[in-house]
Amino acid sequence: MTTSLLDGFLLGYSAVAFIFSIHLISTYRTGLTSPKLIVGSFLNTGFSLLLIQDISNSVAVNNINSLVASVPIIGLLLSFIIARISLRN
Amino acid sequence: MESQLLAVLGAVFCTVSISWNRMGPAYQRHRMAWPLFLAGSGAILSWDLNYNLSNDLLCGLYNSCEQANLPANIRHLALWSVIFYFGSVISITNSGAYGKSKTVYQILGWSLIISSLLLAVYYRPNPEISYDLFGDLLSVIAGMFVGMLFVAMIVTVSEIFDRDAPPSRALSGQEKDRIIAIITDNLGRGEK
Repeated sequence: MTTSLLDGFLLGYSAVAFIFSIHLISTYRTGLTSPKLIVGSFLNTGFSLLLIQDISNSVAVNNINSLVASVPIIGLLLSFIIARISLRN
Repeated sequence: MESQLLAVLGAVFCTVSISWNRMGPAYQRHRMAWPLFLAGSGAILSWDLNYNLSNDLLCGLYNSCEQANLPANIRHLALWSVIFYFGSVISITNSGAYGKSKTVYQILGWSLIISSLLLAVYYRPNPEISYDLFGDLLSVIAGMFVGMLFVAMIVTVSEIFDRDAPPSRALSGQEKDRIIAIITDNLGRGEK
């Protein structure tokens, strides 16, 4: 794997780790949310952020651009699901 | 506050709002989800919208303001996804799955969906697609996939360790009333 591809991989990984941590904090319930889950998620996020701190600016922007450019594929796939729902009588 | 920092906070607010809408202690927090989403969207839109790259969200974060074409791409994404969202909502809520199918609304909804997809595919700010972009995309998606697998692993491990945890507390009176109202509302809708 080239450096650029590895950087893209790490960026994707970090994004998921970061979003999951935000989700855990925002849905926290005292006594019900597992502390082990929170610690595990925070360690995962912290470690992934540590790994991406040296990624070059242009690589990060190119990867985010490519991800934004790919979102129409998700829209296209969703449209098939919507078609299935809306054709139901 | 710097506009890019405010925009990052806006993105975090939007993520929190989505979490509150779908999961967690929804009965209290759900009411705040949409206002929070609007506040987050407003904060994201606080970056300079006149294509002045020096004030943009990610160019500020990555110090790459002169080479980024990200603002145009993100605005394009925001535009077509909003049209897609409204088209989907109109089409789904007026389908046979939610009462009687209404043809006029279906046509309107699908016109918006198709328009948004045409806008997304044929009117992109940067229409060239290179092998580099494809490689970048695959690596990011692979990273996200492995990230999701790892998150699932963390959840599984924590559940194994918390197997002896006490059961969740019983629903409060307010929560019971809310559930009864939702069920009654749905049953009533089916009889119309």
